[in-house]
Amino acid sequence: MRESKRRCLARNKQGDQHDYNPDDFLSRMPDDILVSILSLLPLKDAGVTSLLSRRWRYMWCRSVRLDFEDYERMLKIVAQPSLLNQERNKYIRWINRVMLHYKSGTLEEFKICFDLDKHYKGALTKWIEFAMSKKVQKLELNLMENEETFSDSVRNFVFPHKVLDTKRRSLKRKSLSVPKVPSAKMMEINLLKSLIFKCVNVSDEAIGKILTSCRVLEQLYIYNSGHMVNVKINGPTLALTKLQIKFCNKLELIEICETNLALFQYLGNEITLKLNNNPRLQTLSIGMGYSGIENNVFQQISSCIPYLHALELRIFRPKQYMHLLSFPELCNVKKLSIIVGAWYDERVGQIM
Amino acid sequence: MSTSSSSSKKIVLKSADNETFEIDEIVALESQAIKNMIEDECADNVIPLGNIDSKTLSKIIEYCKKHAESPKKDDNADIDEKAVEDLKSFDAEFAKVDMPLIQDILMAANFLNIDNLIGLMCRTIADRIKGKTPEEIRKILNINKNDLLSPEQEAKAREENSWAFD
Repeated sequence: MRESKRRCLARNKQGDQHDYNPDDFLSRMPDDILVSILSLLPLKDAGVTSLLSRRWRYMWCRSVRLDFEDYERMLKIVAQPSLLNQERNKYIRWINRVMLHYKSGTLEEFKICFDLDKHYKGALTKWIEFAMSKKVQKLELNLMENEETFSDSVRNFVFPHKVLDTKRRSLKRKSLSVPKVPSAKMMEINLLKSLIFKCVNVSDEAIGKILTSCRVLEQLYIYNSGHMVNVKINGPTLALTKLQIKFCNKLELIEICETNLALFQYLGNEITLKLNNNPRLQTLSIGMGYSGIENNVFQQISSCIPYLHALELRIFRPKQYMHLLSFPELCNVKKLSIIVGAWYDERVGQIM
Repeated sequence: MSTSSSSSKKIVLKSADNETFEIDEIVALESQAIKNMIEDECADNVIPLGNIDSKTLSKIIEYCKKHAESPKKDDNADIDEKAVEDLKSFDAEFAKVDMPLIQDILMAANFLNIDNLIGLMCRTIADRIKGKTPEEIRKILNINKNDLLSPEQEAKAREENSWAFD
């Protein structure tokens, strides 16, 4: 009996009309609200809602955030490294499954977070194209085991900057298990505001292309790219306000001229820094080389010191490198942070 | 109306159960819907809100007052960290109410078009259903029993989205 009643009610498949129930407020909410709630949930929790009711059945497919973070799976691999390939395949299947059912035309956020290297180029490229076809605003590729260290960049996935060529034809499908995405012609990068790459090899050429094609890009973070040597960021028309570059071991030069940058963070080996005419640059964080203050750091940042409101320095082995510490006058700095990496025989107090 | 030195204009809102609330116009402007009405000059002295009860309306006014008072984020000005923190803790306290009231506030905020409040209520609901089983969520949200999936539909959904049930 119950079954036949359900069937009778099953006529409105996606739940356009509802049996009125004064206590079931949420079923009286417009779809937009349900989508907003779903977009705030971790993806797995959003998927769980497909079982709630007929109204909710396909609602999760319209979530505007696809955050493929799966800490449990990553911890599993740390505990049992032999599971890596098996878990990688499961992870890839998960993303492809979700892409297959996904319904929203736009994406606010798309985040891949898993230990995947260059051997997964086909899938990764498709995912980037998928995100771009959905006019993604915030794209993050975090393909590393440990984002706070130098890793072996040789095995890194290389960012396929050709995805930014709007006139290019769609890439050949590398794998049948990866769903087809619209051709690159239709892709939109005009809405991309934030790009985060961790353990992805982004080349100098790619950065140039990113800056010229993504006109509203405000935030660019690159960690562990082994393909960056000379980075030049130039021009008052850029929307870029936040730049972080960390642990790029081939890097020799960063040149930032006449930009609207408000925040810049650099952590890595010793390089040449050229910072000219960036009057909005108020927050600077530097850690360079073995001591953190290698290569005349203070002189290198001297041109932007008058504008700075916040300065963060990383200093390693202070006992050994005390002589390098000669603070210039920091006239406008309201907040000075010093992060010290000291060993057992060193007294942090010596710096003060 | 007392001495007319009232530098701030007043607006009167009337709830479904005929209670009236006199508030500063600046507080009412937190609602995009009321703002539009005032700008289009189609707001009378008293704005009737026939689908919002007085309990919900007084909560909403409490929220709008606080948010109207606190300094707005301005791109050029330094954002006052303390004010931001203060507003955050107000929001956290404000959301500590039972689910029926949260849903009433959400519906009313949606009707009145108060973006921040819609966001706060959606976040609150999301936080409460995070990590829960479908059965638990149905209870929390009081989901209509007549709208449940059939066992076959449920099995299909489980299979299709097996990644969510690992």
